[in-house]
Amino acid sequence: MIPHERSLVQRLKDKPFALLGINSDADKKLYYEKQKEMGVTWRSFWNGPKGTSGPISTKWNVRGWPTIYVLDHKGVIRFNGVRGEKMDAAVDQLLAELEQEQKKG
Amino acid sequence: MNKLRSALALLALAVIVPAQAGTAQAAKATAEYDKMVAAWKAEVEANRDAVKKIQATEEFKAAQKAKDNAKARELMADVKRPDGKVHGERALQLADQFGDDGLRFLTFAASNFGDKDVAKGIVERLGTKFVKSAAMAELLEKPMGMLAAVGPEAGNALLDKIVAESPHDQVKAWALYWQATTLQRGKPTDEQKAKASKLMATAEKLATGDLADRLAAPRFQQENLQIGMTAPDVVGEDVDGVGFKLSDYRGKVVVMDFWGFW
Repeated sequence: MIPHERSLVQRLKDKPFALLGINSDADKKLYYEKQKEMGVTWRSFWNGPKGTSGPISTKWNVRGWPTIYVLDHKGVIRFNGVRGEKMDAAVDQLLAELEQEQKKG
Repeated sequence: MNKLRSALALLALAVIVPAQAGTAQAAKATAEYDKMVAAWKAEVEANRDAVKKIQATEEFKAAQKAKDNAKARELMADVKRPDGKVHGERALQLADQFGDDGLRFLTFAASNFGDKDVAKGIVERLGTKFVKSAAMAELLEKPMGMLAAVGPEAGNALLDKIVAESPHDQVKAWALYWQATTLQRGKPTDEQKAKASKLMATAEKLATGDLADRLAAPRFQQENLQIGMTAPDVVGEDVDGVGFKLSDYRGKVVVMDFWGFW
């Protein structure tokens, strides 16, 4: 999971793309310990000291972990629940759409 | 006049002394509570470290590679696990010792120490001593381990009692929420489903704060988080405490990933 996301972020580092986490570790110490070890470079909201019962995931009705939403450049939800290669394909499709739109001007 | 003054002074003393004693008692309870939490955390961390150490050995790696689960379990067999029974019994003792200040020990025990007898002890005390306490709301944030350990009948009896007797809306709302959640587990019948939504609706009317959000969440998801809808903004802080918003990323393709290292 994390290695996959790491390579996605690496591959698209020059594209208009961002992986945004909602980190739900209750203990920030664990986060900092593992962040380096696992090469997590992307930014995350912190879901607070209640961990998986924190305010952001509660409001979004998150029941399973990880939960994924893919948004286009206009902020519209285009995919949910895509993981691994499906996540890559979704992102590539939306980047292509964006490029197309920019070409049209 | 003098008599009146000394009577007043006596009266003042009578009020102040017990209040101070109460404060000292509360401070002592806090100190004991901190000690209990620290002792538990130390054991949990020691366990995590011990597991990590074994996972790093060549022998364990070889067993894992060969998918030899029996061998892997055997290598882990000596790792000392945090003992929920020992810590839980201590928590029950402390709860009894501190009377009205004792609920916090039970709250920590309920969400951390998965032991049947301890859970029984907690439920018993909650039902007899703390049903009307406002701080019960905190305990009811994570009661499922405890409720599962005592079984559905005893668990539900406690929740019923809380709904009937608690003077606090938020506490009642939590109890109703867990009753509904329990009904929805597994394969609920139509009757159970109907009863659950009724309980949820009642809970929603009473709840505030995080619980209100939780109760509103299924509808929020239905109305705001479907494909084709503009994602509602998220405003928060990153792990380093720097504030930012989801909408700062407008113009980019964004993957939102709810995750953790755990």
